[in-house]
Amino acid sequence: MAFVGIQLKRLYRLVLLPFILTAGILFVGFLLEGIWSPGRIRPLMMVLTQVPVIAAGLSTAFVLNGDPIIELAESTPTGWRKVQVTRMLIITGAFLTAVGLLFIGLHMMRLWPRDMGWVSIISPVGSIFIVNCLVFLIAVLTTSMPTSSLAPIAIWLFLCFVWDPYITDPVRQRLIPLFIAAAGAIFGWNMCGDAERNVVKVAAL
Amino acid sequence: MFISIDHLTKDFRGRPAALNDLTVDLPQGMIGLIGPNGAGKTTLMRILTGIIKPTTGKVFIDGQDLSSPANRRNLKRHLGYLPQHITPYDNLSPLEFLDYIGILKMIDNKHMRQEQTHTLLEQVGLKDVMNLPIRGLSGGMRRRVGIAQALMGDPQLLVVDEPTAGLDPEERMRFRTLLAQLGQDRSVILSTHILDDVAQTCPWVCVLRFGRKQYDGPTEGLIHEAAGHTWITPPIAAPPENATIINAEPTPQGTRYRIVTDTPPAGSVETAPNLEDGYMALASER
Repeated sequence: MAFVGIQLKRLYRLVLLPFILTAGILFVGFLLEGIWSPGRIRPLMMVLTQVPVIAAGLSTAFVLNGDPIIELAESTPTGWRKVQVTRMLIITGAFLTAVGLLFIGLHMMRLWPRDMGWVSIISPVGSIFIVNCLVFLIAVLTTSMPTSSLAPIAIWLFLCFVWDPYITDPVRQRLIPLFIAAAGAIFGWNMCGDAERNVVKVAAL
Repeated sequence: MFISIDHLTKDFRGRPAALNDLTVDLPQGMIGLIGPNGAGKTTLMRILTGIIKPTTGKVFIDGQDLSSPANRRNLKRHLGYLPQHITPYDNLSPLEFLDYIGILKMIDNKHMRQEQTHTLLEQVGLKDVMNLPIRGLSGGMRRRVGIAQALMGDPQLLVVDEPTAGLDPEERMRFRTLLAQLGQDRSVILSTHILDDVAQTCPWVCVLRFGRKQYDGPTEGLIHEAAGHTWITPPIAAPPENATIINAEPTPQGTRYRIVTDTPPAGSVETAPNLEDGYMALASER
């Protein structure tokens, strides 16, 4: 618990970020609800609800790169993988919770774009899970902040413009990439357990 | 802790072997690990700390084979490591950073962690600045934060990689005194290019070159390598040939050289060797 607590303490600003975004988007929805019709607000919400997805990926890229004590962490019984995975899970958990709240709020206000009922929650939750799993993989593979930061944007572009428009069933739309992302994360998890790679790759940079 | 290294080889892809069939026994106490850049010192330390695995060969620490993951994990519980390049999180204070390392070392009891943190910061002379962000501390103070973190958990094996590099003379002396004190009741492996630090603190020394052992034994023994071969030349115009120059002292009459050689220039005076002379004598033998 102390280990999770100290990581939470280190990341608390980024943990707060998704809740601030959620509050902001809900506030915009609440304000506009009295002025515009739902049909006019939903396109705006379609844009705004993508912000947490990209922010989740960028936050994950940020926390998974640039740590100056990898070698030191590897010399402890905890190891570097546990540090990385815990950080990823904290950020992902925070964004998933916040985006869940965002969905509930907008769904209740009937402002969630393309709302097909409660099942639509899979769309934002799945997006965040997919983006973060793949950013984790890329961060482990490249140990590069610029590459890891570009990754969420590329994945989001793919989902938004290539995948989602053609796979309209919300379950299939998210489950297929979700399985691929989970497989990628498992691969990254395995690779992150290689202390020699972690230390030598970072030392060579 | 008694460390036994048995036919250790470490290859990195596309590079010459970092360690090449190294066999050495290291006794308890302060051990100096010296050698030129690329000799394999850092690789050896990373293997001893269980971070990387050798390509072939074995390491035994107190009879425990490090090729077993369980033994490596157990070693890490009793290990203090100060890597060559350590940049503590600069937004944290020394107190917070040590607490963080304590958690990584699985010291779960908060009270115990806090007690150790305070004791260690006092020991390394950082009590007055323990609540200030590390970013505001001098290089020497950061290095002391580094050694304090290595001591979290009261490790029985302390591995320090070039701890005095970049420190001013005052900090260096303070640091090596601290290391010598620590070496009284545990094993300390000190890797450094500063031979004076080894001469002052380590009764045992291991010299590596091209991944192989060149010398392993008492520090006095290494100094003895240059006995009868260390000379001070009279002031001369050109550096002597067939000699390893240890230092040069300009005088109005010419330059006076301290050399290690079998054939000194005429008028040279034999002098008592030091560790630098012994190390250079060994290097010129290769």
